[in-house]
Amino acid sequence: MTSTVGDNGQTDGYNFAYLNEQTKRMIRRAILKAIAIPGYQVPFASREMPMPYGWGTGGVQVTAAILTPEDTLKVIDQGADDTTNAVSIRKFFTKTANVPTTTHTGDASVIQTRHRIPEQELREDQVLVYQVPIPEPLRFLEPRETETRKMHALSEYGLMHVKLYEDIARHGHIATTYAYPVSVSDRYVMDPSPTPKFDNPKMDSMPALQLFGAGREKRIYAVPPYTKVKSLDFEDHPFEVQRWSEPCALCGARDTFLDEVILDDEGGRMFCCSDTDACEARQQAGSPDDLLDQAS
Amino acid sequence: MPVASDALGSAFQDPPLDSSRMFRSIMNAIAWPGVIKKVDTLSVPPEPLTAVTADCLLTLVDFDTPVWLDHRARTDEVSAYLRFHAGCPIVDAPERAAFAVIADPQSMPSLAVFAQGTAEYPDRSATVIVQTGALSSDEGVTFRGPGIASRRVFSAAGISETVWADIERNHQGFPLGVDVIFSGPNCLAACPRSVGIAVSETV
Repeated sequence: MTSTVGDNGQTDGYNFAYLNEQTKRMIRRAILKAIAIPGYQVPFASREMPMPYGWGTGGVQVTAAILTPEDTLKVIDQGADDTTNAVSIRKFFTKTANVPTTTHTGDASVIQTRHRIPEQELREDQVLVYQVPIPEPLRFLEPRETETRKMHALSEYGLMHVKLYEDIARHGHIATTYAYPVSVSDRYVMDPSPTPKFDNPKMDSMPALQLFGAGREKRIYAVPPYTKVKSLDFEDHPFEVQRWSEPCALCGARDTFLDEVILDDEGGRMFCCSDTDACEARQQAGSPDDLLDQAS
Repeated sequence: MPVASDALGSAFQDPPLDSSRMFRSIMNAIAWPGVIKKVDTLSVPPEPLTAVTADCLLTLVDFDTPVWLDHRARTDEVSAYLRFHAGCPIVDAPERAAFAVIADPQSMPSLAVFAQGTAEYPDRSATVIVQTGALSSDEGVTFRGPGIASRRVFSAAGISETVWADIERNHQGFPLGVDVIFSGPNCLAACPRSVGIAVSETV
């Protein structure tokens, strides 16, 4: 099949942002309900997208429904702009919506993310769209949708605390490191998608609107700007984020989320920022050695 | 501004782009309760529907969403306009409506007559679009809740204290309840159910 490119750079034969208008209206109505009921998972008639489940079909549908021609899109996958998932979704919207794209967090108006929140603080005029695999935080504790739905209706979240307690009983600390459950605006317990718990504090009172799309599970949920997002914990085992003993090997940052990179088959490894844009900005601002000197 | 060519008025000229921009305004209004969004209206609906209300409806409603019109909005022209341009059913029973239009806020029914959602599906509730006079952030009631850093002052001309008290009562049922969109002259604002309203608070 061949495709042609129209005068405006958009591939011919597609509606703006790929989805048809009725689908967009249905998703838009779900988004409005999701914002009005922070943390509640709104069912929606998720469509088949030209990519497999697990590649961000939920996030793509939310992005397609909110995108305007004036937007600038950034897409990240585990913090990186240059991985397969991020590159292909960026190309998808370049083709079907002809929107400009960027890798700079500060230049984007819509940021679609898989499993990270950018290190740079987001602004009020930005929207963060998460790709979500399993939206139900209680799913692995209670597989029946009828039951989890009742538990949300009754705010019956004791089971989640039992799970965190069992972590402590077994490991001496809460061993959940990603998809760490949060309570939104003191009502719904929500899965922040498999972001590392390092990112949980950024969700609390974030100036940007946060939208979550789960394509296979057909759910949309949201956290409005300046909304209380609290990570579940215990008085004697307060919530903590991950820390690393060494700084980023590339930019020297000590306050970012670091990925472990295997360098050879003899145990060689290094730690570097998972947020490539933040890391590059720091590298350009000064050499790692300078930063290391300052840090020590 | 496009001129109405016939009795059915006119709708969006470029529906995908026009509705994307309009939706962004509505989404931001819901996400930032009480913040007034300017709207460059595009549709030419029959009286008493305003262009802002019509743009909202054209963006959000279709054959899936029954619409209820209050006594003033329920004219043959408005019904025909919405049926033709949006394809939505017009219903008599307010509890069946997904969207409701109030053109006469003086005789606004209690929000309790609309669908509130259920404990397990709080999203199965109505969104009410109220046509008002000027919107202002200088004085009025005080909003608190998600989307608001500390508090936000808001008023809509034509919305009486009784109506505010009714909205406040409705929002106490959170997560059940009705989301309200205020459709002002060339602007809109919203008060979703998550918002707590203090009517008599002095600022």
